[in-house]
Amino acid sequence: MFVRDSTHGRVMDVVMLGPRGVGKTSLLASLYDQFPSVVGESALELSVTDGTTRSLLQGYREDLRRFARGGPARDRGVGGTTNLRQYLLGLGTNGKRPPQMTLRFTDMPGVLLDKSDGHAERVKLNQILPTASVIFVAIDSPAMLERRGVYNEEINKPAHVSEFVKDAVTTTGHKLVVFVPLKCERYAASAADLTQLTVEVKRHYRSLIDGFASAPHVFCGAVLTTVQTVGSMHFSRFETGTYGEPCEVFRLSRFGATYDPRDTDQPLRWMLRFAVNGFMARDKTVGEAFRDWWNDTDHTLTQALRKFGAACKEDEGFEILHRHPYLELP
Amino acid sequence: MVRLDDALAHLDDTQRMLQAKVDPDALDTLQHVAASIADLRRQGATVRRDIGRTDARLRRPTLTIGAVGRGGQGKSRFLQSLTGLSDKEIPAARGGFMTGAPSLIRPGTGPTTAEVEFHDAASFLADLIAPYYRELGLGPPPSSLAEFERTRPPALPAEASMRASHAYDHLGTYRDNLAAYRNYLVGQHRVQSVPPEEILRFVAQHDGAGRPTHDFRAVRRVRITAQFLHDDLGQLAVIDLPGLGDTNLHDEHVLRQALDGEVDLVLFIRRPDPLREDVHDVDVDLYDVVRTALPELPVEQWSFLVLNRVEGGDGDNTAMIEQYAAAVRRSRIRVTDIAAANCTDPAQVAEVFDTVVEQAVRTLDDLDRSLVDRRELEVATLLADAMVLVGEAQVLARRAVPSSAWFPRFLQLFNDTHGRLSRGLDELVEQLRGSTTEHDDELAAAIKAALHRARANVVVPSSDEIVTRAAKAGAYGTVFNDLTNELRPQISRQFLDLDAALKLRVDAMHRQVAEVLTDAGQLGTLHLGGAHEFLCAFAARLPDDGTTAELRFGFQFLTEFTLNYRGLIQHRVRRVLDKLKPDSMPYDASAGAEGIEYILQELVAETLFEIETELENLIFEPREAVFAVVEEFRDRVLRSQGAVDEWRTVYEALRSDVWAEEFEALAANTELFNQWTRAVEGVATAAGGQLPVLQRAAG
Repeated sequence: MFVRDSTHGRVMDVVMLGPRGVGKTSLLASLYDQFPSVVGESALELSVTDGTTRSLLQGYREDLRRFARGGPARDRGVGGTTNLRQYLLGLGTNGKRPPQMTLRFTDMPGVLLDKSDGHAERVKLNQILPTASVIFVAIDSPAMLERRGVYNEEINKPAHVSEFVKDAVTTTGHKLVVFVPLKCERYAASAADLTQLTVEVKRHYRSLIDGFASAPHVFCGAVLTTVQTVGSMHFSRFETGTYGEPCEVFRLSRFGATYDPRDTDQPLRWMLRFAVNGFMARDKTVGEAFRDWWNDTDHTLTQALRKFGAACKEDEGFEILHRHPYLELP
Repeated sequence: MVRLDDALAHLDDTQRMLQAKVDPDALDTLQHVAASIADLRRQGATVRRDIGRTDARLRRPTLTIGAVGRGGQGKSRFLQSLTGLSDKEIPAARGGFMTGAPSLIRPGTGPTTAEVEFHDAASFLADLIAPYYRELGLGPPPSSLAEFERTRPPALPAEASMRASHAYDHLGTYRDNLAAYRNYLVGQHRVQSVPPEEILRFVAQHDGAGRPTHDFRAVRRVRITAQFLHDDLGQLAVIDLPGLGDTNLHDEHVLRQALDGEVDLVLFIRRPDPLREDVHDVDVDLYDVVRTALPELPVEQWSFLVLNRVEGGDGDNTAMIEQYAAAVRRSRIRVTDIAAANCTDPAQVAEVFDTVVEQAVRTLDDLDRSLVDRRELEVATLLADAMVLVGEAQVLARRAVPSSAWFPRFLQLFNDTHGRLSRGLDELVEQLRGSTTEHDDELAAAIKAALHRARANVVVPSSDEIVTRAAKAGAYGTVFNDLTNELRPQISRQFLDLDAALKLRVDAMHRQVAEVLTDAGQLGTLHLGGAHEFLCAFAARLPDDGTTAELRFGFQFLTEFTLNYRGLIQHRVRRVLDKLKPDSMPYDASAGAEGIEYILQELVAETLFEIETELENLIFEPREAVFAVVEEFRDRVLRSQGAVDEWRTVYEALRSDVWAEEFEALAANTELFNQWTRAVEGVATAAGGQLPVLQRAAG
């Protein structure tokens, strides 16, 4: 679950997976946006030691806020990722350096899923995926729900994505797959719509989810968290793009609406719950055992886990699809 | 009787019509019945004529006595003595006259008056001329005076009898002298009053100088009213009839007609020869003419023989009176009584006449009674014969094709057709079921066109316009709400035209069902019009007596089904339009004109997208709806209890249309024989009528 790295210590790989345009980078930006407040509830702290990571993620945050303002300019939101990129976030007890663990987020351009195995970045992705402990599957909610899901296959490619996830979770180790339906602003107001959304997600990824239970050597948990990425922009309609492709159009949900993301913390909380539980259960070296004892790290982590883990939602758009010990609170 | 003849005539017409259309067996029966009809009609005509005669006799207010005698026997003299009239009114052979036309002499008061009734051309040819042609075998009688005048009758064969030759000569006289009396036949007045001194001219065959005259040839009869010598003869009339001395067909015909229709009693006037007297052939001939004129009444009951006694002079025959009377009694001449009187002696004539009348009055009632009985018997016989005919005719009526003859064939055809109809409807239902997953292309195109129109036509005012309107309205929030109110109907009206596309789908469904009914169901032969018209017309032809309740329901359900904008689309569009209701999005003061323009543009676009989504879901519905309707229709008309029986009832009624070749002949045959049955029933009804009532007129 964690790889040792001489520079970054225990590193947990997190992959943002999904086809182009479904909102992987927006999700990453939201997670980054929510980190301080979620982690700040506990005695843990987030550290960005990598300047590139900081500037890029900051840029995405600004993109989100700009998009959230709406208006005739029709901002398209967070720009697509053109290259496979990794972002390093340190997570550890306040004031302790280096942080006990590093979360290495890999954001991929969606088109990579359609590239041949020989493609350089695809090779890289194929190497990262088996090592990933957490996979965020970004899902475009309007594509799944609107027009009886007529555009779902084209936009979310659920079967194709499932194949990648399967490849990732069949390797040994503990895994967590987080299904994150994004752009849910339009549906969040209606319990029926949320239910419909969860039903559709489970239906489209049924074989994948069922596989988690049937593979004996795989210890993979799965959760579903719906996310309103910006809160103020509702899905309005599909328009036809230059090449006949469906293009989503969003509009302000009301006069004067502003950036107001909802539940973007939930994927993060589940990921942290899984990561901290995993971290505490790791096979410690003698040195690590001593340091943890000395610093009372496990206690700190357990308390932190209880703090931010308690706010994990499990109903109305949130659900544990497949249980895993690391998803439980201590 | 007339009803019976009418009924027989109708039956005769019907049998003529049937003759060309029935099989040989039936034809034999028909011909036999036809002969019986003809017999019965002839019999009926005779009975009617006899009834008419009897009725006329019973209605006569006077007792009419006909004086009959050969020329020169004293007949006219007897009448003169009886009536007090002279030679002027009653021609006597003694003066060289012969009675050529009958004279009816009635008692009256005041001076003598006379009316001459002439033949018209038709009665002249029919009553006077035609009998010669018939009697002498001269072929068809002339049909007009011109033809009679123009065409000489064919000559008699050489071996013709003397009587025939005389008659032929007599006919020639009629023809040769036509010009002399023609005017009377073609004149406008059939009856003409003449002074007494003119009477002779019209009844005598010769003038006072013995020259033949011809006016009498145009006369039917002369009616004379004169004061009789005896004023107690008020209820009597006498008729002076032509003698029978010269074997004259005309005279015999006139005599018979008078005896038949006008005479109650006959007085044979005979003047025995003073030297040697016996009953001659001419006496018997005359007697036979009289006897056969009224065959149903024994002549001896209504005839008297008056022997003209000539007293004094060369002709005195007093001695021969008894002798002749004895000779008559020995002969086959039978009369009620024989009396003798000097016909020139009014006293003797009156005495004899009194005796005759006294006896006549005694027997008259018996005669009338006997006549009425006879007529009634004849009518009863006729009606009985008519019922026999009915019996014979009914045998033929039973040849009308019974249901047992066509029903098995009908059942076979029905079962085949119903099977095909069922299969056709089942296949149609399956075809429609399969198409429920297909787009309704016409509707899809119509929706696409409507959306295209809407996107082009529904335009949100620019921010500048919004500013202007806000200035007038006083608040942007008001303008926003007003604009939502304006935009909603603008959008909804773009979709009204979808009605036409929906109607096309229903029309197509009706067409498909109608095709199954007309092709597989063979109902196309009904020619009830196009699809919907066919279904409606067929439904209207279903009996409403409860025998086809399921079919009627099914067809009603099918024909009344419709798809339209209001029922299928409007509510969906309206639901989406809720997004554009005022206050659906509270206005925020910070938005301004541009914010309103932006939001409205987005809302309109979003609304049209959602309408498109709604209607996209809809494009399967028309096919689903028509499938459901046709399936329900199929279940009603094929699967429901009693449906097969209902179809059988319908097809049975329509069999002549549906299987025209199979049933037309049978149906026509049945109709023909049904007509026959009705005609026979008509005869039976007429024959069941009451007998006519005959009785002597009062007074």
